[in-house]
Amino acid sequence: MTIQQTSRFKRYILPYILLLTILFCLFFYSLTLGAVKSSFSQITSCFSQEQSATICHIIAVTRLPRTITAVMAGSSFALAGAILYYITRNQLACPSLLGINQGAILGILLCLIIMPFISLPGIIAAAIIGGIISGIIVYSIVSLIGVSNLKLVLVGQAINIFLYALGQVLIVLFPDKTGGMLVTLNGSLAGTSWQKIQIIAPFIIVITLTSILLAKKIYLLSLGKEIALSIGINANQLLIIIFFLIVGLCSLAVTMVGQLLFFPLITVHLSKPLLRGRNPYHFCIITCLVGAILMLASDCLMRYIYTTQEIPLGIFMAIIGAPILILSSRLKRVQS
Amino acid sequence: MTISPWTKLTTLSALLLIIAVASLMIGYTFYSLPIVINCLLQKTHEFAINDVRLPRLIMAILCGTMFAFSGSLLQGIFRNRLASSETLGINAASILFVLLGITLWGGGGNFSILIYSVIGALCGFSITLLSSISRRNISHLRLIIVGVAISAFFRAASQFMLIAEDQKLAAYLAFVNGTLYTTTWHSIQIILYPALFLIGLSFCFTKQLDILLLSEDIASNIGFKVIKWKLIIIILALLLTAVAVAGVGSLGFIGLISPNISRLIFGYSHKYNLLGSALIGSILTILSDTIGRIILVPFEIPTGLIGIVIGVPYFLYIMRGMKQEA
Repeated sequence: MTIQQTSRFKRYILPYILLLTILFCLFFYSLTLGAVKSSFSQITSCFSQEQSATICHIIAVTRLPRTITAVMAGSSFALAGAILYYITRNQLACPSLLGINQGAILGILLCLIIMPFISLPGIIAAAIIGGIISGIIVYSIVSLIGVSNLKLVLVGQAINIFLYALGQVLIVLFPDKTGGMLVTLNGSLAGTSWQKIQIIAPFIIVITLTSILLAKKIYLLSLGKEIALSIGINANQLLIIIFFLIVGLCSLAVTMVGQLLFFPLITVHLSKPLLRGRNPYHFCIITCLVGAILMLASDCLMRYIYTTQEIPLGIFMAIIGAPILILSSRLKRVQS
Repeated sequence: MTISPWTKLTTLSALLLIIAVASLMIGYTFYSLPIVINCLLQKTHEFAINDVRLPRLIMAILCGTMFAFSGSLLQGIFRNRLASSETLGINAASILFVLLGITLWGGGGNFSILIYSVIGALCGFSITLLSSISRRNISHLRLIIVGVAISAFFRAASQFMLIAEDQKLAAYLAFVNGTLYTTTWHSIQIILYPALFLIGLSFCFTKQLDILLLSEDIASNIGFKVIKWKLIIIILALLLTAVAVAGVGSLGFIGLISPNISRLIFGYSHKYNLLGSALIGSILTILSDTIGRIILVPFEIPTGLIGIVIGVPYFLYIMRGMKQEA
């Protein structure tokens, strides 16, 4: 009995405690970082009492939303990656490598060109529409060409590059209207604000909860359509829902932080060793946590190294993500 | 009825000539044919033609040819229709090393750029090759995936350099996306001799390339030193890429599609295949450049981006034809 309990503890509870502690520490560490350094005690005093010091103002207006955005965007990218990984059973499947993110960006750019003064909900809608359209295009091209694990990545990457080129063309042609997007295009947390969080957060929370609730069905579907059907799951309907969940998560995250190539791939990779067993609920939640931690940690790192300069996070991600993609393309299971 | 390869080559050359002259005529200001001819004969001097469009045209032909050649050679070596300097990460690596070299040792506008670029090409290629070998075997699709990943890696690193060292490298922003915008007579001077030498050298290897298309056993049975020739041809392909990158940056998929189209037209014999791929590469580069110049005057779209937009559909088309990995 005790053995079972310890193994259960090791399996489920320990990773949660570990991850939550790291996330908590990083959260506060992220608040101290910036052009103006501040200590932990200053931050706690800001939280505990009504303080009007400059540092409290900085924290409340820029650092706190930035940190919260990092957590939200990181976890939603990660969740999208986890769902896609489950469905395709493909180590290499990653929404950012399949052109969905890039499609969302293209949607935003087009929207900004047509209606430069559109409010934030309009931009979100444009991102989601862009993501959906590119998702449908990828899906149809992949099914036209034939799905093998390695091919999926190549097709996705080709479409990614294509959409990237279109986006760059738009930026060249309309520099005055798309200039505002330039910062977030390469993946950066610089463009965050409370207003963005207020609008996007409810959507993300709803989609995240739905996905986690659906995790069991998604897992069953990943065993095969026939199995899912025999248990009484409407596979096609579920697939459509999953598609919208993934696209929604990616597009919303893209609206907040822009394109982060390889990010979901990295998180899925990092979170697999943390969990033995195949419990889909745990997998989803742990991937979310790992995503949030990864995003916060890399943002902190970038801010620690370059205090006065804004280095896009996406660049950092590509540098650590490319080796991971190569490693996972060498895994035996992928080739079969 | 079969058309002889020479007829096809002549047709392509005529097409190249027409497009080349058209690209001299069309632009922000339109020049009629007689003016262009007069300028070419040095009778009159129009700045827009003699000093802007003509160098671009020459650069496009040189670099288009070189990218197409390196693509042909690499596809011959790997017997992989998706191989090219772009998809193997060579272009991106060259660009990064050029940026690095300029930041560390300076010398943006002279021959040292060639050296940086060659070192980059060697590095990029060896990393791609080493990380895709498993059990002394290179699978076709994995090679390309690794190449694409390496490409993303080096491209991110170059962007990082651009942002971190913006005062030194601001002039090279366009270089990363591949453009002919910065071409001057001076930049042609830098690459002209190595380019002509390498292009001429490539024609000496048509026979070896044909033999390499056979399986390795047959090739070594007839007394052909496979490894030696592969190595020589790979180095040649890398040098071609490096010089082309030093000239214009990365031109995206030109190096991937030209050999493929050429193979459709001329079949597998490299004697005609190489010539064809050179012509097609030049035509495509001039076309991309001209489209980029005229599509929305006065803005200019980097040639490399147009190259990507043209190239990706074809890339997908090739993928469709590829059989499931053996």
